[in-house]
Amino acid sequence: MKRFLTRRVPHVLAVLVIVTFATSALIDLLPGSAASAVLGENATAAQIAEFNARFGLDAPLIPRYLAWIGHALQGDLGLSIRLGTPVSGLVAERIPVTGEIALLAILVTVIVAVPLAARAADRESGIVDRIANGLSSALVAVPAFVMAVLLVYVLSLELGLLPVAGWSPLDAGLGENLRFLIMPVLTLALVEIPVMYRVLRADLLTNLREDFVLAARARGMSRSYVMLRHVLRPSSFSLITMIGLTVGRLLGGTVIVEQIYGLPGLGSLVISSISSKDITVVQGVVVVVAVIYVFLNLVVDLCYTLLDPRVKVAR
Amino acid sequence: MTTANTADTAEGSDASEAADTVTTVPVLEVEDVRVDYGTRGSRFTAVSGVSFALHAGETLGVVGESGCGKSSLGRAVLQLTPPTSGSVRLGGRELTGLGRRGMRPVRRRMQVVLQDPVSSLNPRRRIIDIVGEGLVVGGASKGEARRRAAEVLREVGMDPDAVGHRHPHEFSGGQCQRVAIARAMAMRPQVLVCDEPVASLDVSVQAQVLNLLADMKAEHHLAMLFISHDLSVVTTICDRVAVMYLGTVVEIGPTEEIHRRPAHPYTRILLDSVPVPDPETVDDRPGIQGELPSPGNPPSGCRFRTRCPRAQQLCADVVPPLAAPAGRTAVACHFPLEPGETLG
Repeated sequence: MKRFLTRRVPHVLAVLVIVTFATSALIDLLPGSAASAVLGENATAAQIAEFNARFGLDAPLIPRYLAWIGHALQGDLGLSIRLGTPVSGLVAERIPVTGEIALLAILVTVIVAVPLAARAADRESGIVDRIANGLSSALVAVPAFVMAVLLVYVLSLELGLLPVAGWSPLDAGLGENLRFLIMPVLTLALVEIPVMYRVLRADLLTNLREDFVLAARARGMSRSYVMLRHVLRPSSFSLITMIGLTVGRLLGGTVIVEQIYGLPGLGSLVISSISSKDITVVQGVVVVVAVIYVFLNLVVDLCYTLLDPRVKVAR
Repeated sequence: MTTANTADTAEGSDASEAADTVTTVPVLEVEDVRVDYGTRGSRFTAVSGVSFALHAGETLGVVGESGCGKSSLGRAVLQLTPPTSGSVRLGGRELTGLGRRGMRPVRRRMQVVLQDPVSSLNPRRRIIDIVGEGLVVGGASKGEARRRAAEVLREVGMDPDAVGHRHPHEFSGGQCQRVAIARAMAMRPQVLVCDEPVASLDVSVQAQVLNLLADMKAEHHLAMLFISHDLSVVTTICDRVAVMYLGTVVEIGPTEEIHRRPAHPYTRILLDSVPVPDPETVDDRPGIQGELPSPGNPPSGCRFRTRCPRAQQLCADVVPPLAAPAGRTAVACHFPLEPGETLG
């Protein structure tokens, strides 16, 4: 464990430095400037210089980055250029929304995809397998924004079951909160389920062909026991990898869904900040998402050693 | 009085005969087993009509080239791939048609040792759990299963305290195969099917594993079906040998007989292909010609005729039945070899 961490922590830090440095460099790389976006076309040179000094935008890249990271380490992500309020507050406000959607989406995905893959692999080419394969091929081909529009059309406009868009926070009541959550979560889950189903099914089929499965069946173990104890467990490896990657992707990737359903999450915050050149907010969101992502992958790698005794020796 | 007496003696002899038959009733009877693979469009027959009987304490070797259906036969016997037709009886009880659920309680009585010792052990399990798992599933308590697992591990020459908590990847192929044998023996089977159990082991380790299997057979009065492509391995361990070609048994008989006086040309060729460990010997024995025909479209009549140096018109027209000429092994050939006769 100690060796694992001493090996991985420098790695993690390097990733974070690269990501934050790249976002700092964005200011120099993007056309136009934050000052002209906020102050307008008619701002005088003096006004622009004063604005840049206030937000530390006048310094060259390296000192600017070092100053930013010094503050970030103390939890201060700077002030929003557009709003003048602390970035950390803005991000903290938005995280619960995105987090709730992403976690629920991954939960639904796992709950649907895992049993379905197990059932399909258990009876390869059976009726369940064939239907699930057909459906997953069709769903893989549907991008999230099409799925979102489709769901809005069917569930809101035709059936009138759910609100078209909007948000009600959790502390305003769970029922209301869920009503607004169902469609975004469903949209994301329907995109993720086919991917997880396909990878897991293929993995399970490989395991089913192993000799130890044959040997287990020869000792009179039931189908479900063999599936659960001998087949699904080795596959938990790829399952955990997929969950880690999917959660990371969902955290950053709810952008489209948040935009379509008008949800006040990290995704919509990033979109609006980019269009208004609010670079400090973009930087703040990126660093938060990167930290979560890197941390998740660390947890995933840690799970490997717990799941497979061989990994421990190899390290 | 006299009639009563004769009746008595008759009864007596009946009883002794019955007792005799009890000991000679085969543990495993396989009759006309056929295994088809594939679906409507691409169907082929891996095993077509194989019959044999196996007694307790007896080892039957099944030899043949790869693709001749010997592994399929083993799996059909175990009902892991249920045979398409034919009958498999274990201790007189019909197994075909029992179905997955019905087979489950019977499975422990027939165990299997597979070729690849590494892939046949679940890499995530500890040795002691691998060996004991079948018992736990069969209803034994965890402690009971561990005790029994330790016992069989000792029996196969491993120290349960030293190896029990380790994982398969920490062991060599030979040791893994010992574990696989222990796992099978833990169930106290009557029949042990060994599917190429030593094919992937070093020659030096092969001998150890073969000895272990022979010991197990002797100690537990096992009926063993020993599948191998290696004739020299089979001759060291088997009481009888069945030679398979393209899904059928072409010759079956006592190992000694097959070895010294093979009747089927294919058996002769197989024996002649065993290399002679002497660099001075000039090997002028005729080898086998041609390729194994597709089992999806076997030759008419005798299946071996396309590669047989003695084939004639009759061989193409009539399927030779498996029959035993007086004092010889059972052979499926229209023109069997005389004792001592060679090919070519």
